[in-house]
This record gives sequence, C-alpha cells and structure tokens, in this order.
Amino acid sequence: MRYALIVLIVLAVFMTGCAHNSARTPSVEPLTLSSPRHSDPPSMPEGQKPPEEKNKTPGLSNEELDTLYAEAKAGTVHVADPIEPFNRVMYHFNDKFYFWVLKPVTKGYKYVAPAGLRIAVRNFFDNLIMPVRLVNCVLQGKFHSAGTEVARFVINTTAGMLGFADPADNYPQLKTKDEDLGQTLGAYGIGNGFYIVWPLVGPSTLRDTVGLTGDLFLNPVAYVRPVGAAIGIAAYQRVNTTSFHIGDYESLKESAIDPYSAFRDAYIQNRAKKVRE
Amino acid sequence: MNIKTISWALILIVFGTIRLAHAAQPMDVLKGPVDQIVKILKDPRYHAASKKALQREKMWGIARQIFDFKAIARGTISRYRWSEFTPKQQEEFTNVFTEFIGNLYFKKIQSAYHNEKVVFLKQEMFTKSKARVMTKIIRDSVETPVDYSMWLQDGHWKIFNVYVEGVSLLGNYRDQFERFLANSSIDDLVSVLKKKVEQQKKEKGVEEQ
Repeated sequence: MRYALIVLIVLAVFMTGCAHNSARTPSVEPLTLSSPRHSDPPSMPEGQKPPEEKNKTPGLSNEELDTLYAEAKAGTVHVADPIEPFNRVMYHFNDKFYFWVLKPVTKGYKYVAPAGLRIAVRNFFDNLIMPVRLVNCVLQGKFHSAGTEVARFVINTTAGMLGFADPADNYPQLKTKDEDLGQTLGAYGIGNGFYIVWPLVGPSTLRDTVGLTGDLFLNPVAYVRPVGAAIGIAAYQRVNTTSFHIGDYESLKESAIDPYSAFRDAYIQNRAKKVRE
Repeated sequence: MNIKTISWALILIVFGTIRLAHAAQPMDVLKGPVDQIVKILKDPRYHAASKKALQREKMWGIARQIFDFKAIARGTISRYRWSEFTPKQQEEFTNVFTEFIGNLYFKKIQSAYHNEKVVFLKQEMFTKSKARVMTKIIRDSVETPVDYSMWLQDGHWKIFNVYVEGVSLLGNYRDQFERFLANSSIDDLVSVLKKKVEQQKKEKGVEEQ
C-alpha cells in the first residue's frame, strides 16, 4: 500500500509531461485576494467610461474600442492564488530543473533519437493511456467520442503495432480530444479551487490535482513493478514529450514581464478552453 | 437614362460587389501574408546568418500590413489606465510594445522553423466587420491551434488579437500590465519593455556572429 502511494506520487510528478508548455482550465470567479501585491487587477467597472476619452488612438471609434476591450477582457480568466509565496518558490525550482536537467537531457536524447522514433514513442504512450480518455469521455456523456477512442485503440493497437504507429490518424472522423478528470470535474461545474505549482509537475490547481491523481489509477504505467521501473518509464516519457517542445517554454518566459503570473494565466486560460471543448 | 449610364451603373455594381466579396473573406486575406512569410522563411537566400536581419526586415514589412499593432498595444491596457497615459506615453508604449512582440514572434519562427505547415481550418464571422480565423501549425506532427481575431479597418482585414492554444495575447498582457501598473508607474512599464527590446537586439547580435 505504501509502495502504491509512492508510485502514485512519483508518477504524478512525471506523467503530467508537458507541464511547461501546456497550460489548461476552467474559470473560477476572480476570488480577489486581499493582498494588493498579487491580487487580480483592481477591477474598475469597464462599462464606466472615464471622463478623459478624447486622446484615443486615431481611427478607433468608440464601438471599435468596445470590441477591443471586450476581446481583451474575455481573454482574462483568474484564479485564486493564496499560496503564492510557496508557488513562486516552486516555479523557480521548476525553472532551474528545466534549464539544468530536463533540457540538457532532452537535447542529448533528441540528438541520438531520430524524430520518427520519438513520434512512435509518443504514439505508444498516447495509446496506452486510452483508458483515461475513455472513462472521462463517458463521465462527461461524450459517448460518440468514447466510441471513437475505442475504435482508435483497436486500430492502433493492431494495425499500429501496439500503438507505435498511428494509422487511425489517417481518418479525420477518428480525431479525438484530450480528456482528463480535471476537465471532467470542470465540466461538472467544479471550479479551480486555487492555483498550485507542484515541484517537477508544474502548474496545476486544486481541482486538477485531484483529477491527476484519479487519472493515475487508469494509467497502466502506474501498475508497473518494481517501482523504480515505473519511475524510469515515466521519466523517459517526460523527456520524450519535452523533445517536441524545446524552445516553447523559453519563448513564453521571454514574452512575459512577470513570468510567474504569465504562466499562471496561460495555464488557467488553456484549461478553460479544454473544459469548454 | 441612356445605355451609357446604365452600363456605367452595371460596371459599378459589378466591381462594387467584387470588392465587397473580397473584403468579406478574412481567411483569404490572411492566407496571402502567411504564405509570403513562409516563403521568406524557406528562401535559401536568407539562410546565411548574416542575412537574418534582412529576412526579419522583410517579415516586418508583411506583418505591418496584416497586424493592427496600434490596436493590439491599446487593447493590453485597460480603458481607465489608458486615459492616465499622456499622448507621448501612449505613443512610446505603442511603439516599444509593437517592437517587443514583433521581435519575439520573428525570433521564434526564425530559429525554430522546420517546415511547419500552416493549415487554415475555418473562419467565423461575428459581425460584418469582426471575425475569427482558426488555423493550426503542424510541426513534427505536433499540432498547435492558433486563432486570429480580425476586424475590418478602412476596408482591410487586420489582426487585432491572437490565441495560441487558447491563450489570448491581449488577455495575457492585459493582466500582466495591470498588475505591474498597480505598483509601478507608466514610465517604469515603458522602460521595462525598452530593456527587453535591448536584450532582444543583443541576443540577435550574438546569433548573427
């Protein structure tokens, strides 16, 4: 039992894979924090136009400005961040982990492993965690998608040689979307709770952490024994996934004036999109 | 009414319709510049490190036609904050932010371009003058959804927001700038962006040696 728990935790750490380049989630109401330092922007009612509206960009009518601000506002989804000091420390730890460990290792791996092999490995793991997607499709009542998952799995496991190839990809009607328990909970209307940055795993929220843990029970890798082997497999998968995304983390970081909050916003927005879909 | 008038009227109607039909397809408008940029990226004339700056120049020229940079900069600052900017600060901010995001974008595609494919999926018309064009970029069979919000400005479709994997450019910067301005001045914001642009230029210099 203790072993199982350790495996679960370690796997949780590695399996989230692209924690760095992907972000995900649904919207929680802007639970504005009391501390002004890191709370969400003080929301001045946008409808209330300040008296000084004369010096606007030439060429933009009031109507266009409304369109512009509506668009910008729609793109902001906020999450409570009550443990920000802890999260910031974890963010810095993960940042160092990426630049000092994950990136050099991945670069070495990328150098020796041709793209074809890396894609095959990715396909294999994608196929392997079909149960996660299948169960979450069913839980969300997406029975058509669930059927597609099964069809994909059958084709790719047989014709695709245990999933290393992805012949199902040739059929547009067999396209699937990523589903996980965090998204399912989001679809049920459960909010993010608050933002958490886990060491090695990266950005998450209370809800997504619960989801991640639940999904592990459906991940065959979690049942590999001995534990060391399971960890090894998970670590390898992480490196393989990262090999497709070197440079993404760097550009997102460079694009931010405060990378910590930029990654938080990006994670929350991307998850919100996934829950909507 | 004589024949001549009628034929002129007909000609006007025909050409008018063509022009309208043309203006009504943001997706087609976007395809041109994207193809041009891909062409420039593939052009072996620019593959030498010393030609990268020239290549970037070319891409800037195309980007300026299709991106509404002024609106993008403006949209990252909330309405009431913008009114606190002096006209000079507004202009400075617009210029430096445009340069900043342009450099980011070009650096990314110049260093990472490996025959990515851009697929145009569909367009959604919200109003006659506002639309969203959905695309995806495929690299090593990894698909990245990129959506463009476009609007009609003086008869031209222009991009005023970009979503990468569902993350809105305007929304992301708006939050960051709002948080920054809660504790720092507008001039601080401009100078932070200027420093970032300086940094970008330095990195480019290193790359090109």
